[in-house]
Amino acid sequence: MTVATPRKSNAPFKDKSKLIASIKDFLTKNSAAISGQGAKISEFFEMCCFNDVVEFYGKNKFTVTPQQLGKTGEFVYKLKANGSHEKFSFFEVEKTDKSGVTWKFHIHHNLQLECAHQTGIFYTADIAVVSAGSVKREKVAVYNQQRSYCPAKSVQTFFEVKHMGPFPELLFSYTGLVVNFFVPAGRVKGVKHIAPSLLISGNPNLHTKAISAFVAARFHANILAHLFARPSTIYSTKYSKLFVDSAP
Amino acid sequence: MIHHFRAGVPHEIYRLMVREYFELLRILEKLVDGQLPSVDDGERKDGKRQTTFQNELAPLKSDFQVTELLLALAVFYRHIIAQFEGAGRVMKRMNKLDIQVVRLGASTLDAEAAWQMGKAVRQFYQLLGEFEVPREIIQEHDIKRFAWLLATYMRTQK
Repeated sequence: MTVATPRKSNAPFKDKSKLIASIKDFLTKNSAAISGQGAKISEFFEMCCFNDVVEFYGKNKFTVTPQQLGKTGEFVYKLKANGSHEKFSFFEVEKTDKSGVTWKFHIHHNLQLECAHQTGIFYTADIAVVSAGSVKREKVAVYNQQRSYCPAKSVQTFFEVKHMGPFPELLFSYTGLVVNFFVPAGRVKGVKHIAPSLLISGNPNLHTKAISAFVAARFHANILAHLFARPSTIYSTKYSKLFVDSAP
Repeated sequence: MIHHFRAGVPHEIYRLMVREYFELLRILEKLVDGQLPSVDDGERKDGKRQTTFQNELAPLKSDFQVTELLLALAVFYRHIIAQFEGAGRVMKRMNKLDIQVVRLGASTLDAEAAWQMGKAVRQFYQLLGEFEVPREIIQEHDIKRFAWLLATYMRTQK
């Protein structure tokens, strides 16, 4: 008769040196993947959120087409606020609604938006959904350089991406962007967009959840957190969020 | 303990990891020693006030080096592994749109890079499985909740 012996636990506090050795082994085996990506690793979360927004339109029966691809057909991300929008790729999404009206929008990465209350001042949204063809490239009064921007009236919605845990100052300061760069008036029924949202990788605690509910009620904006653990929050209908109608 | 994760990690990322690790470690030490007043949700569980939050963290004291190591593992996960997971999803979708390469500034991301990153993600989760470290602990951003989850886990393993 054999007696079953209890399985030896490998839990880290039983033998932490084994875990340290395994970590070193893991890093050695994957050094090419880790060092090969360089500092751009920190851009991946924002890139992922950008694609999740595109996925939202895909799941809502929009036709999604990449535009302005590079010379060899590569998708060129815009990593910085400056630079001509004509040199970078973006997504075009198109849908015909029930009344037969065709809607066409462009989804840009790091696009400057003009303030809704004063011309000539801008903020760079991490992700912006704007009316097709509304991005301008021109020299704005008082500035020497040309800049690519979208007037506030053509902004359908925008997203700010933060790779960190939510905290009160961050959530409240986001409301300033919504107030100053989003025009809620004059929107028309047809197709819906996700309301302006702050996309956060970290998970909220009770306090930041309460602040998020307050921001939703008072500013009609979403705080979508915990995106590391729930990456489908942006595009899945499983997670509740606020929507807005389209700007004409 | 964060120095165990130095090998191969790009300098700019490692610098961020070190800063975050030591900031969180400082808070964690204070929590365990009861020096931080438990004034907010850190002292709550299922919506009820927990007056014994510091006592609940007692298992973390038994071998604080393990606590430090798992905190370092969580920081590494956030800065590298979670980012790799995201990049893998992006490449999958791009491939559906017949885009094989993504350009980020001067560097590119292609199928080979995506495969390497996917392999790293799988091996990382294998490592967690091998050492019976629950994913939810590593994925936790809130340091108070991280401490509470880890202490609860350690208690069940005794």
